[in-house]
Amino acid sequence: MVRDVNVTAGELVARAGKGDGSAWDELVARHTGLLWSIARSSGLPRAAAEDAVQATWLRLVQRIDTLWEPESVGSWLATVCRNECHSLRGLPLPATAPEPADPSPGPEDVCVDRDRLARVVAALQAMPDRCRGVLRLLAASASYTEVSAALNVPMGSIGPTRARCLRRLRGALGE
Amino acid sequence: MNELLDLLQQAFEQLDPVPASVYTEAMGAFAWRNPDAAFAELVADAQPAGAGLRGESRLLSFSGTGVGVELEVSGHGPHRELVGRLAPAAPAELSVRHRGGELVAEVDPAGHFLVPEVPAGLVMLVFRLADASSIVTSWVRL
Repeated sequence: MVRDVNVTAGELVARAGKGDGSAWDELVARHTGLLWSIARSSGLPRAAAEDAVQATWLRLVQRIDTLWEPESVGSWLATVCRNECHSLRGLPLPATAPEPADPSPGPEDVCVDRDRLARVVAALQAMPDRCRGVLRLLAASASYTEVSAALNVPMGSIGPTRARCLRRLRGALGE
Repeated sequence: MNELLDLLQQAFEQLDPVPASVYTEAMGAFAWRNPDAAFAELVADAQPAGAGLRGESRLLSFSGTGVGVELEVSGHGPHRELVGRLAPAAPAELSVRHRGGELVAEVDPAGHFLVPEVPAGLVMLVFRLADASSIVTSWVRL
């Protein structure tokens, strides 16, 4: 699949609504990282998080022709995913496979500073859930409106929270 | 900042990678697209406390333009039993879609249907009517 980063979300929604599967695949490629971040930072185990993300996409399939603001599909997805996570949290969990061990580093990782990466990982693990969640959304390239929809917090609070969590991360890295 | 952002992305990929199956299932979801079907949305979900555990049923209502579906859900554990009615009453072929596939049942001329052994989890109903039109419900978690 040739990815075109210049196509707007609204165009992708319009094309997918007309049955263009490659536009749908591009929506999936762009937003799945964000949805996974939302589901995992809401505290769901991996199997339940998969369910929440899939439910979110299934709902978009049904709504793709009738979205009010196609350009804001990311925020729409974030809100739906948050609600799915909420409805899953109260349920008894399906039998889950054990959490996989950390994957071994792939070839693309070779050039990064392994030591520094290891320290970032350790710092994230030691952080409060709230901060880790905010940084996870940041890493998933979420916009402020998407973070606001994902966490159900006012947009004005996101910048300060993000800055505080980044300071905390830099502090843990000794910077 | 960009360097830190790159590091954060790699750190989360290491800590908690998105399973590849999440992408393939999400792409596959597009196959469920059915733009010509009438859409009946969940409008009521009466769930008595302890529904399923004490033998009580959950009652769901779906409504769309000129169509409605009433659904009674019972059972607990891995499976549910669905008893429902399509309105206006018409014979139809019913597919109950779930994440693992689909189950097929008949809707009788009075609009009634029964589907035993539906896997718990996300489910939607698709009715195919004799005139080749169809009705789909929104996804619900049973």
